[in-house]
Amino acid sequence: MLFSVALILVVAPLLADEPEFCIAGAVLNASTGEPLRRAAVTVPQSATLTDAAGAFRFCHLPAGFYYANAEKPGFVAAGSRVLVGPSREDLVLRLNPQAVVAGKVVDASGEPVPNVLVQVLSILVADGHRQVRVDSTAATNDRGEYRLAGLDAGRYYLRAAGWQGAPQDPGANEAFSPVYYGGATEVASAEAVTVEPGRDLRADFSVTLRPAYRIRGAIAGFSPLLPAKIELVDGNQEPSSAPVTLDSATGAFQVSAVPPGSYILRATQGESPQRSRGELALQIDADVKGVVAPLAGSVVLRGIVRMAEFSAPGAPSSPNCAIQLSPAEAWISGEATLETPTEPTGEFRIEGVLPGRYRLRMDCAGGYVSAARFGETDLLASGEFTIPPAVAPPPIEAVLALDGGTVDVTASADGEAGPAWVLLLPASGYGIHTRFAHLNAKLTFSGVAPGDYQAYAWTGSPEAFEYGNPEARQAWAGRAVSLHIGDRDRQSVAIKIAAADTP
Amino acid sequence: MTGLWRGWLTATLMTAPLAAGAQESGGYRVAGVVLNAAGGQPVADAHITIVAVERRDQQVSAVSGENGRFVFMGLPQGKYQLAGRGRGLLAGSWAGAIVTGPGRDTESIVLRLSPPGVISGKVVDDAGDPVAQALVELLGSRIVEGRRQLIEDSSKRTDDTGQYRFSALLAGSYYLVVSGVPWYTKFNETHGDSAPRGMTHAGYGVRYYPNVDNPAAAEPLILQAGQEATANFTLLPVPAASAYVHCEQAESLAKQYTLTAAGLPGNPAFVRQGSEAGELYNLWGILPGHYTLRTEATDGNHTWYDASEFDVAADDMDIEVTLRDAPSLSGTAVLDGGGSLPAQLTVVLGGEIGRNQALAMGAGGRFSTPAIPPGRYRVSIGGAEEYYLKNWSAEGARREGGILDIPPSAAVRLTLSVGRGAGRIAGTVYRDGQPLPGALVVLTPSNRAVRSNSDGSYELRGLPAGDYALFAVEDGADLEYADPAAIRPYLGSAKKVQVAPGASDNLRLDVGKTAAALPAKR
Repeated sequence: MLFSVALILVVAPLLADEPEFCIAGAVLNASTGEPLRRAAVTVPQSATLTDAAGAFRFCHLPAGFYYANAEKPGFVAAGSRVLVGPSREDLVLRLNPQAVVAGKVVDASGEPVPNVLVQVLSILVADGHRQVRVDSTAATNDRGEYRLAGLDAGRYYLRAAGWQGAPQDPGANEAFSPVYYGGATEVASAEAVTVEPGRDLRADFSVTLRPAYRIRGAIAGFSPLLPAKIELVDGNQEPSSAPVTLDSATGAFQVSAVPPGSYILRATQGESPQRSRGELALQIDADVKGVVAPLAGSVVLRGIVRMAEFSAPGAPSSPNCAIQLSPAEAWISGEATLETPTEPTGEFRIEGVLPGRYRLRMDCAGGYVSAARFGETDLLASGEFTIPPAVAPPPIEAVLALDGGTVDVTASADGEAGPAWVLLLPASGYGIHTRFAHLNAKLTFSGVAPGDYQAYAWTGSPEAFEYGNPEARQAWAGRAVSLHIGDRDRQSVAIKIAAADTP
Repeated sequence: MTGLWRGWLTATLMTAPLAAGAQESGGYRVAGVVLNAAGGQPVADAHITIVAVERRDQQVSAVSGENGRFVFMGLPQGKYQLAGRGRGLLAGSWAGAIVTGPGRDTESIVLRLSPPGVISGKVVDDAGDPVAQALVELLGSRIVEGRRQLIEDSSKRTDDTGQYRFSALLAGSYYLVVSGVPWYTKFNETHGDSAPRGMTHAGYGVRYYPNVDNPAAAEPLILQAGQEATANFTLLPVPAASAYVHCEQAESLAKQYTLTAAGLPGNPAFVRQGSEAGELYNLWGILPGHYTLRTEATDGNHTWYDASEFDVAADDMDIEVTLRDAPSLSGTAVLDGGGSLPAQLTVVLGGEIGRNQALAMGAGGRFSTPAIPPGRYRVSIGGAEEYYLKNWSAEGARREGGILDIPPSAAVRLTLSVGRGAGRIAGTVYRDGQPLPGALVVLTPSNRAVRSNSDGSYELRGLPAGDYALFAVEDGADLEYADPAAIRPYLGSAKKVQVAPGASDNLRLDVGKTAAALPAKR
């Protein structure tokens, strides 16, 4: 008797106050419309598998919004927001099959080439510059076939990069120079492939096997047991996948199966910021022995941002800038962007800078950089500069001007609402970046350097416009609004985004 | 010597035919033919390399002609090894050594190169859907040190269509083991108990070739040279339980967990491997059965181990792991009869599931390791052929025959008595009065075996003094010569040999009726 009372106490409120509902429906293949059996469907705190007819059902759900998600290997997961109360019995979740890229690699005589590393590359645009990222890789089997499954929709470049690990027949000592799908030898001229859901793409390659060579040598100034690596960059500034062995005790290295050509061999050792690096140009048309890669330590890059002489009344008396130093290489290498704020004196220092090519970005509160020099290099005129090995670099000297103008930009797209991207592109090419905006809302740029500008706006990906590339600027010229900004000027710009402009 | 080798290099370009064993100005000839091991047809354009056994840094290459023929000329008298590779064929080598010298026929060497074999197939689940990411292990069944053993050759994951493919395989017998986890059991981790128990508490039973679930019913796949074999598997979901492993020690240290179960005979199967720094490690999707869980933690200076055995039934269960200090092991090796041991000598402790330890011997034959997982180890020595383990004893651990059983937290002291075998037996194998190359020469009970050379000669060195039986088998590729039962039929006609310390014997062996009368064992 006591027991049944307790039970009623627990259950009764649920029955009385919280009606329960169900979400039921089916999961379908979006391409064929066929039901998908054994897809996993989840709502918060619960999961189930669809039956042979693709059907699923969740019950005992209190009223409210739920997110129902369906997934199955080989398909892109998809979901839907559902309001229950009453029950929802007809929810249909459609899953797009994932894309597959597959193909074959053959040699000049049409014979299959096993053990070839095939890379899927995508190009990102960061700060207006292209960056190449390796998204996925596969190796050909004994029939020369490869298969890359599970790709998201997008634009990719496919590259037969070299051998996967050591060549299958090390005695054969043959290799091929990297080749892109379509036959190009560098990503800049390669043809992109568009991967769409549910579409299998076939991409075959023909490679030219040539005698390959071996580079043997040692890292000079090597410290045993500190992490070290050897990289080989080919004449197209693209990383080589030639297999490298490095003796962690002595610094002796060997790069095998190197196709003939010109290369930069790069040795790096240590952990940030105590790192060192050496680079060596090599022309390979025979086996090379006794290569010595000299290491030069990282340097400290110093600089100072000075206030321009004539400041406006009420302007800050000391510069407040964010300094960013990024490697200028197109291929994402794992080298980090180094960042530092300025001291109240305007000075800054960046430690652990390896010799190499860089881009510098200086964002200063309330103003713009009106002059910036690195030794003989005018950083406003050239986007990149080189930090040489083994010498203390000259300081970066910059001037912060506060007499900049103000620009109000309003972007619109046929009455639509939503996010957009706005860019003020100066003729000098320096000190620019894309900013986030809302359509139909005013976005204010202050402290804008006096000069001529092109203003752009677009929707979609912030990476859609590769504005660091003159060709891309040319292609987008018709979409720009030109303006001139004088000292302490204020201007308003309205940009209409045509539907055709959306990438 | 340098001049002689230079002479050899230039001499290979000459093509004058010569009589068997004839010595020309620069030396001797090795000639023969490269054949496809599957069809027997000549292999043109094969790259052949010959290397002197005593001078491995020196090697010479040649390319076979249209008729598969090759010739090396101007070789100094000596022993050579011959290897080759051809387009679309697997690299191969000639089984014994090729001996050049006066009166030795090295004109008709046959090098057989195998076309690559393939084993491929598809793994599906009970609904016929492909199982992606299933693990397919390929084990070769081969004679190693006189015993047929299973060696893991390779492992692959199935692709998104459930397919796998092993290529470049030699002819032989292979076992295949397939395991996997139903992809939908991943909801176990994120959705707790809310998903239906059948969805999260499921695992695939391990399958063996030919698609059977019982390891005792596993069969070898016999692959012929160049054959493309297909082996498909069906993984069936069965109810599985979670084993919650609790370990309250060594907090903040990552504990390495290794779960094994009985697999093919002599090969425990890996079930799961993982690392967890916290107190709780969830082994989910574990099928009913008997398991061993090994746990290891180390902070760089100190190591702890545990090994627990348990049975998993239908229900979830808890397992307590108590880490204990790692056993330490030290010892001394002494050369029987006095004298110092060579520096390259090592003590080899052969453990289960590949846990092998080789300990270098320092000055005075001393060796030690601060941490060794508890368990059973086969004790042997290695590093120098003519030294052998004569006897050994252990304190702090049990000895069972050749096995050392190390209990948890033990401090083990080993004392090894090392003998130096200075005995030597050499001779020639004949069949029908003719020297027989490529025969297997077996010395028992040392379990040593060598292949006879191109002139039928053989040599066994570094033998401990004692009484032996010596015999030769023409086609001994599959003979388990370390198995007393396997060699019993040969012992009747074997030569009785007494090896005295430092003595050298020259023995003629005849392969004849005994071997021919036996059915060839494949």
